[in-house]
Amino acid sequence: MNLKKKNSVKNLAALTLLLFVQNVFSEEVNVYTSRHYDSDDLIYKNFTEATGIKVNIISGKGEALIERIKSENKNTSADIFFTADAGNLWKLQKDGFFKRISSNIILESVPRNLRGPNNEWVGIAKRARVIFFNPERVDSDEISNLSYEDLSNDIWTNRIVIRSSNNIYNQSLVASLISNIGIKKTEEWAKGLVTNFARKPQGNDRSQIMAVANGEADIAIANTYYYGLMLSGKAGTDQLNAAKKVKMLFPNQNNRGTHVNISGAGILKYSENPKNAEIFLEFLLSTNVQKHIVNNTFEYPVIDKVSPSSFISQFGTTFIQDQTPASNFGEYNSEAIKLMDRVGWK
Amino acid sequence: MKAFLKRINNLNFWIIFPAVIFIFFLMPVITVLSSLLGEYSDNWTHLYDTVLFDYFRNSLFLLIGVSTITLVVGTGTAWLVTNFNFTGKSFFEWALILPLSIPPYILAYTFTGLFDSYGTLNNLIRDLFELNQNYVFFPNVRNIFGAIIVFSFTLYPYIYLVSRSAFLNQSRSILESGRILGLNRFEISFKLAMPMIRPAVIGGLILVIMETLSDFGAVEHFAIPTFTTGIFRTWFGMGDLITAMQLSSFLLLFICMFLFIENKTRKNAEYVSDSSTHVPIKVEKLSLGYSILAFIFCSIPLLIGFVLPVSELTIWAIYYNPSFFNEAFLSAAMNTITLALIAAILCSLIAMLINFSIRINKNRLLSFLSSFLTLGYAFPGLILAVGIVQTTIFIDRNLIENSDFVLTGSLFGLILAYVIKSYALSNNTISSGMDKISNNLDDSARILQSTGWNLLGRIHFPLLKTSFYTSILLVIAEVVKELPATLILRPFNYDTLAVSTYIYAAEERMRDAAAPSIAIILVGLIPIILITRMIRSSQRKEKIQ
Amino acid sequence: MNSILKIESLSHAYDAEKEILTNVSFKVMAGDFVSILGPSGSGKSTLLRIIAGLERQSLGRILINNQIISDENHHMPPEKRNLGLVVQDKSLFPHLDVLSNVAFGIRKKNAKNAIAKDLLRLFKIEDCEKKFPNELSGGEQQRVALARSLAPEPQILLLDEPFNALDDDLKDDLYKETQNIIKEKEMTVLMVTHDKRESQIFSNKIINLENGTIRE
Repeated sequence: MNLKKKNSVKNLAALTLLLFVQNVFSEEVNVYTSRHYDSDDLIYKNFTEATGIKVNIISGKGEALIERIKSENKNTSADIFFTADAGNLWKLQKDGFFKRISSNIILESVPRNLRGPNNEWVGIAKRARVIFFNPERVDSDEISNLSYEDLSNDIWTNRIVIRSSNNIYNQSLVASLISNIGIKKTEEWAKGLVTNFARKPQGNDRSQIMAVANGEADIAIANTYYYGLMLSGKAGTDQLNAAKKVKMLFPNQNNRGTHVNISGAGILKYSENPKNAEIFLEFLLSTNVQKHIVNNTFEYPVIDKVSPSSFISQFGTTFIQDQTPASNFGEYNSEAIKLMDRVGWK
Repeated sequence: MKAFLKRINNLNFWIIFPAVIFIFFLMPVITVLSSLLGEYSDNWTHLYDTVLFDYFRNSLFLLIGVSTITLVVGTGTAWLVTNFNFTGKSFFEWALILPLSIPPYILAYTFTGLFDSYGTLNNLIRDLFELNQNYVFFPNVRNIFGAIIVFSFTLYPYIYLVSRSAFLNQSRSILESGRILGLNRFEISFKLAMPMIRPAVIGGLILVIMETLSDFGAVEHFAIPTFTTGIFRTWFGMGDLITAMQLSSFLLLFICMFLFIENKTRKNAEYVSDSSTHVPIKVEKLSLGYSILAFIFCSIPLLIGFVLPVSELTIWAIYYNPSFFNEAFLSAAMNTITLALIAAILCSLIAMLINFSIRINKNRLLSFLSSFLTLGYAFPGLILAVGIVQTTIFIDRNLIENSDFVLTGSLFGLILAYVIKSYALSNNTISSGMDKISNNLDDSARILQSTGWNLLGRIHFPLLKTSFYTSILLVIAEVVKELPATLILRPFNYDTLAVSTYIYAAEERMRDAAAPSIAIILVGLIPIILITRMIRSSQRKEKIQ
Repeated sequence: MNSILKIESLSHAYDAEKEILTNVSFKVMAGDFVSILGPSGSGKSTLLRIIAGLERQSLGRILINNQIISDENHHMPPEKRNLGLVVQDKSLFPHLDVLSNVAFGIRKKNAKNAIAKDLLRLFKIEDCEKKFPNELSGGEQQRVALARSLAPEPQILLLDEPFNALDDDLKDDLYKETQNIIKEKEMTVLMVTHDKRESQIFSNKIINLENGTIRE
């Protein structure tokens, strides 16, 4: 090959390589998020408008993002990890992937039990994993003072639906139980629960609520915000009508309280834009954004200046919330998965 | 050292290039297999105690079920269509391959949307017959039987194509000898014609088995624990990448076993009849009764595998109008096309360069290398992703110090995965195109002092244009459908149509999944159109005879 | 004496224009070796195929052992006629070994292999037993084809230029063997050939076929 050709090949190679390079532009924040709510896009857009910082999103399942961050290690391009379950946050926290948050604005907005043990991450929104029931098919004495632990009783045979054990929300619930009543009791409970399934675990939380509305089952375990979404009518009339057929109750009100989990975020240790990341977190905790979250994803806010959406608050905002530290969900996550495998919760 | 470097300098590009590609292909494989030599964590005991047996059992069950149905449907329809004349025969002859445009996970999503307790069809039945809200007519599909149906009716076309081709090539006089020797018309087909096409069918069956084992989207959606879902769960749920790689290695070895079987049967039985005078089989016209039966038999796979899903998806897409033109869809479509185009062009170029290299070097090692590269199609996308992630991490950590240039998370990994998976397609297309270029041309050009790049650019490439473009189209169709590797390896802001479909389906938002699904199917129709053209032209040739 | 095969006024045309066979009639006695001699295009192969039942004649009758096998009203299918047929391209089953090929048409289940092996010995190819057709030479393949057609003990053996593709010295060997075996088994044979010498070696009766008619 003559020289001229060699040069052009080199240039071509360089150009091609550029395709493979991750360029770091100025004023960006790279958010790895496992939240899949369209309404989040508006938040990001508003952030860029307000601050001029571009938001790059990579979305995926929490576990996938975590593995990615771990594999990327020092070379990670992630600045923020934003996820819908504390279990996920713990997985990164325990291996030291987060940078401690020092901004007072942030720390003062979020209550202690909704932050990482050393402020590695903070909660941005709350959700409770509650029980949905069909009032026409369930007696009031069956459900009075109902707790999660009661659900393994024989009276509930073939009446319960819940999603697969693959899902992190269930894993955290089980982890919370392990942390409170120990592995052995939780395993017995889980065994009983599985025999009470009305159908093989399938579909997501919303599909469980629909199943109860349709009469396929009497009890569903699902997160509060789906209910708000359905009742608001934003998901269509079918879901609105279905939601009207079911009622929500907070379990464990006469002991430790209902299992509460958070959507949370943290700044990665090897982030290249830590300052932008901090600004981003502060933004998420601002009144407007919290209101936006509350009215679009129907989660509970973490800052006290904002009230939850009326669709949700009609069922009560003063329910007793389980104070088990969110970081425990992660700690027992692996045990929870194994336990669910052992009892055959598919 | 100097002598060594000088030696390398003398080795020409044509030897080095395939070697380099070979190394790139080999890296993910070695990475995955090397985990077998590492430590086996406690999770193995857990897996063994709980789910490992399920993975085996489900995978086995799936394979048996899918093999049986695809064999019956694929061979049966091919037999009908080649031996008989009946209503709709010329239509079915090409239409039976349509289901190939639908990747299994899309059929799975559509099925759940249709057959779930409160899905479209059950709602329809309830409304039509004014039944109680509790009444459920169609059985649940989210189980292994549903999965068997899904795989069978999207994959049977492989067996259909291969059987049809083999039947068409059968010599009439062999079949007639069978009749003289006492076989009646019915026995001719089952005791003679079908056994004779066995090696071809085995080849098709291996393809079906590999696609079934590699799938992730369909089995995950139906909540069936298999090796692929197990690998995913172990990696991301338990955070144990090593165990996931070990599981992957086992799946890989299992697949290699199938490849080995295919190779053996292909070599041992060259069931090509020796006759110099190939008289095509006499096509018999079926009576009305049998004609109707044949029509029904051929319609069923077409209905289940194509008509039903496509109509349902279209209805959903229309019902939820905005979906086609919202930003998410357009950006996913844009990404998909870009990615597919890059991978396709790269893959075709590589295939062309390597085949050219083999041609001018006639080196046995090179041919072997190239055959090895074609095995990439057998590599499940999920396992490829595992291997590539580890490989890029290794490269990033050890070979590239500068933190501005990061391989992990860039398009590099994803494109490498696509190229590895699609290389066989490109290679087959381009090598058969190259075979048609007579060696005499090469010799003449050489006398005229055209060799190497000159020969390639001025003679071969212009003559290969059709093959090259065909290869690009085929790879695009293949890449657009890919799911698991894309899910794991994709970079920032990069959703593809397949990924969008997956995410919507996971959220049970079937109507939103319709638009990207239809887009994927449309692209998947490209190779179908190409094959259909071939079938139609052979039909025309038959008529002229 | 009763004839074993009787062809009566057989005519056949594929399309309205050209008649392949016109009013062919002849008789074959048990034990005869009849050669049908004629140039290519004379319709001899068609005649054989019609006798075998692979084609149905336009006009005329075929009787075997004085039973009507084929006329305008009925047509016995080839698999029921108990005939043997060897064609030019041998048509061996490529996926079966030699023994299985030869044993293919034998109806007696328990004696299958024994009969087949016996024939292989007669044709001097017993060591080819486990080989596959694509591994055999032309001459060996032809012997297998012959053995296969004889194995079911057919009433009549039909040969369509069976030796055509072989070299001359192979032909001579095969001629001798075939003659001996046919005599031993007391076979009735109808052979189609264009080779005069062949017809003279084998047959006790020659029928000349030209343009579809018999020339005495």
